Amino acid sequence: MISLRHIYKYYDSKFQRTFVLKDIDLEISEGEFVTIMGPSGAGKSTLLNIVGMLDEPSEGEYYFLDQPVHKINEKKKVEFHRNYVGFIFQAFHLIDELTVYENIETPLVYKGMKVSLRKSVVADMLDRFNMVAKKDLFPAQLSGGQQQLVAIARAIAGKPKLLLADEPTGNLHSDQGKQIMELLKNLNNEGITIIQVTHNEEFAKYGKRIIRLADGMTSSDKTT
Amino acid sequence: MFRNFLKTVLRFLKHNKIFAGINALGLSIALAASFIILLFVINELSYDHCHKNRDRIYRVNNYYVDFKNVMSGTPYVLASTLKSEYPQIEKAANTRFLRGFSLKVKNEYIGIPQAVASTSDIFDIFTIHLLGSSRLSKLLDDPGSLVLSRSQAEKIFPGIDPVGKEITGLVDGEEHIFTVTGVYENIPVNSTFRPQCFVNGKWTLGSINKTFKVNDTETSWLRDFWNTWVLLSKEAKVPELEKGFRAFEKKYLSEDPAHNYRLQNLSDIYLKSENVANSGIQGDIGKIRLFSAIAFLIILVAAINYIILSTAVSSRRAKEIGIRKTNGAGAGNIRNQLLSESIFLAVIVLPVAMLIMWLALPYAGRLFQTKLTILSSNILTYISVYLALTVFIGIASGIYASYYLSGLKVIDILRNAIHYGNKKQVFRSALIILQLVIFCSFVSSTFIIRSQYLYALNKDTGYYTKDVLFVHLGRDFKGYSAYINSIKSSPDVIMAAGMMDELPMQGSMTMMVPHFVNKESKVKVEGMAVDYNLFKTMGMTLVEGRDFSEEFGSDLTKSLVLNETAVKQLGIEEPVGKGLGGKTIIGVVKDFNLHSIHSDIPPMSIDMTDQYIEEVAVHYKHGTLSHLLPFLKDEWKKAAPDRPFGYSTIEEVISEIYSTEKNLTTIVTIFAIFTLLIAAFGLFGLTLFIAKTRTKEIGIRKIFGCSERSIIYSFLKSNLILVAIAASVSVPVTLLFMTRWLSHFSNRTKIGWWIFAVSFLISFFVVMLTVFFHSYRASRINPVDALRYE
Ligand SMILES: Nc1ncnc2c1ncn2[C@@H]1O[C@H](COP(=O)(O)OP(=O)(O)OP(=O)(O)O)[C@@H](O)[C@H]1O
Ligand SMILES: [Mg+2]
Repeated sequence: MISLRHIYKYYDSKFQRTFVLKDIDLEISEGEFVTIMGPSGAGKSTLLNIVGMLDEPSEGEYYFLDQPVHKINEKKKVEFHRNYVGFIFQAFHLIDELTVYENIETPLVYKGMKVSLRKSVVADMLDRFNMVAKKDLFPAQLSGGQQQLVAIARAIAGKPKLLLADEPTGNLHSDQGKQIMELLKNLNNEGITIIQVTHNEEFAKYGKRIIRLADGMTSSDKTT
Repeated sequence: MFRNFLKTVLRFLKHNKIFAGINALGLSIALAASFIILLFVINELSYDHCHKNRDRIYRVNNYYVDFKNVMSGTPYVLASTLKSEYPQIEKAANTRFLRGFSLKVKNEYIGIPQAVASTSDIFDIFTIHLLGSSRLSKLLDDPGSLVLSRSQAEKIFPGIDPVGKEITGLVDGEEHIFTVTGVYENIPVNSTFRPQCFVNGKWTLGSINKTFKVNDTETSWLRDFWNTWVLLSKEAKVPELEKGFRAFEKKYLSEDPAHNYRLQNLSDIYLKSENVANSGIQGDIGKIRLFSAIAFLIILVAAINYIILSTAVSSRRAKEIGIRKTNGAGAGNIRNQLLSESIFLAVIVLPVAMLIMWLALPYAGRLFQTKLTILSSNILTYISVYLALTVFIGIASGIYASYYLSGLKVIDILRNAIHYGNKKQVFRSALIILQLVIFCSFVSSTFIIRSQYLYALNKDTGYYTKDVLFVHLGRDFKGYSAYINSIKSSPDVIMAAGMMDELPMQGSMTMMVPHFVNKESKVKVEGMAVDYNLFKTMGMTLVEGRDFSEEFGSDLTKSLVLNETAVKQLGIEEPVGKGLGGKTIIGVVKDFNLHSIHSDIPPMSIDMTDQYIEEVAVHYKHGTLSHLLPFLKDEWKKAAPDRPFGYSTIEEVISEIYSTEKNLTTIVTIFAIFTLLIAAFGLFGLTLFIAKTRTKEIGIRKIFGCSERSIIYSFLKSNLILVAIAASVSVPVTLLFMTRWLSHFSNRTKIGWWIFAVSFLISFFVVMLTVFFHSYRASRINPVDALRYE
């Protein structure tokens, strides 16, 4: 599903070029659960953002579902976001002005889903995440764990093929973290491809494949 | 999708009440102000639109070749002659007000204002809706016909159908029987032609015949006292027709006619008749332009506010936009969202703006010195213009924020790395400066207009501008000399004399006088008619020769006095004793301002009259006015028991003449206050936001020992620079417009530099006041709280 070839990412400042990613080659097939690990500043988030088409590589080729991402236009990328990719971030990133219900609904709106169908999908999500009672609350009225649950519900509501999670448990207690990881595991079992970034060795093990980055390069790539 | 947007906006506003309030209030005030101006403009531009055939309706004007001026007066026969000579002229009618026309109701005469004498064609030229059982044609063919407007009909024949009824009318003091042939719907106020009733045209002939002691007015080509209206056929070509008039004039007027007939379209009559004498009610295109410009500037200031505020909040909206993008929103979706938000906000404000406008309308009416009425025929125009303007503001102000924000990269938002850096700061500062430039220019312009006004009031006119008053005699006041003699007996009266019109004079009487040396060329000279002692009464001095005097019995008919300009322009050497137009020049008076000082002193020829004396100038001892008035009034009652006593002081006459400048000062001042108010709202909101976003920075600074004073200072300094730049930019802008404005006047005030200093100080003061509040609050931030909040 994902194929990265000779991916470089660098930033040019006045006199020097700083490399964040150096010659990354990566193949990820559908249904995988990949964990990316590595020290701070290794380029994990950068890699994830490139995969998620939020950032562009400085050099190299990237094929997503056999389409050359490095050649496609912005509009096509929006298409991909709409239909294939879901995001979960460390800082939850919910829209403060929308309720739980409305936050989950947002990607479906952009997908152009019909109102009746949207209702049933959101109701389904709320039910699944045990949030029915909280559907009319605003993010500020939820705990951190609950916020992250909503963020996940929203990310998968549109039935993406690929779920990208950048330190989804970073701000949470380990109990809550565990709950989230269980959820991701279940989603993966349902067929969603997942790539997560984490610093937590225990949570890393939820992944079926662990890639370690160091200084912008893959230092190891193991399938457990 | 729109619902999803809407919720976000409304909740965002709920959480940012101050921002929303400031934005809404600023915008609604700006909209209300421009709505009022637009109401005026729309009303002015809608004149005569009620006449369906207005494209084909023309007034025949008289163009005087020598004088280069246009009169709307034409002879009685012109209408019927034109109609019979030209097939292109489908209908033609002459009109003239029948002054003093009254109708007898219950043995009492009721004066009918705006009674017009005309012919039946008039109903086919103008759109006049006949009501009920009115006759369908030939309404005015019988001499006794009477057609009433609905309001007059209801007044005179309450509750009954007046058509066919007889009524006694009074024309030139004689009773005649009239029969009502029709009633018409009242003509809208925005029509230049708005009679209250119509009678047959013949009724106006008598008084003209009497005045000129003739009996051929009906067929004469010499008495230009009627307006002539024509309705052209659809195929008619105006230039062709006008060219044909040359032969027509030769045939009916003379071999070498002194004037030409020209056509003026009905649509041009209200706003393009400044050169036409006796044109009837007129609008002022200059005023419309000025007001439209002011409305535009106010809207500009409000739109800038909106842009500044919305880019300021954009830092807080960025996160939402990033999330929306990762959830599949394209740049287009975001743009539409922000744009519709902005339009939505503007439209929400619309009712508030309408309410403010409605409340302010009576005051604005007084300010504009016009009745600001909401005309039902214009309602559709108002609504569409207001709505279009509101939506336009929404789009114009939303467009920048929407393009800026929709273009942000998700990755930058996620990394919290959006550069609110230099570029945006510069843009925002430029906008604030633009607002302040508009404000400063308004303030300086106000001062300049005001100083021109004061200058005009205080300029030496060449005659007394104090301790003089004018008693209004009215027309044909025979016993004026007796009255003058009786008031001269008062010890308070220094001198009194009769004259034609008050000074400074508003109207004028011109004639073409051949140059003394170069006989071919003619000079336009203004006439004035006076009584003995007028120069003395008004304090005018003679530089040569003598004043009019009773000792020379012939002065009344044989003598005239020129002013210095006339002597110069006519090229006369040694003028005293020379003849001019059958009279002898007996003296030269020092130049004085006949009209407002805004126009040049014209060449003048002053003669004596005992026929056209309508005012008595009284020069009295300083401080005796209150004492003198009862005396003047008592004497008046003796001299003219049947006429009301009326007078104006010369100060009143002068301030009346400069009332345009005075009003302009008030209007521009008020709009200056508006722009400042609106701009201050924006600045208030902006500093609020900057202070909020800088909370963390200020907290950290304070931990490192930065004093409260230096924090306030840093806020004030950046704003001081903005005001200073704006004030400097406003100088050339103001100079550009105000020198153009001043160039219309022959005597101008000097533009003092203090004016710009003052406008700088005012805007500086207001800006500082606005900014100080938040910067003070920001400086008091507790660093611990500030950092925890992050
Ligand atoms: N705009 C930029 N300009 C220059 N360098 C950048 C920029 N953005 C990121 N970097 C650098 O890229 C490197 C990788 O950043 P990245 O966020 O991918 O690290 P990470 O592995 O996710 O670290 P962490 O575990 O702390 O989140 C960092 O050293 C960072 O300084
Ligand atoms: Mg990271």
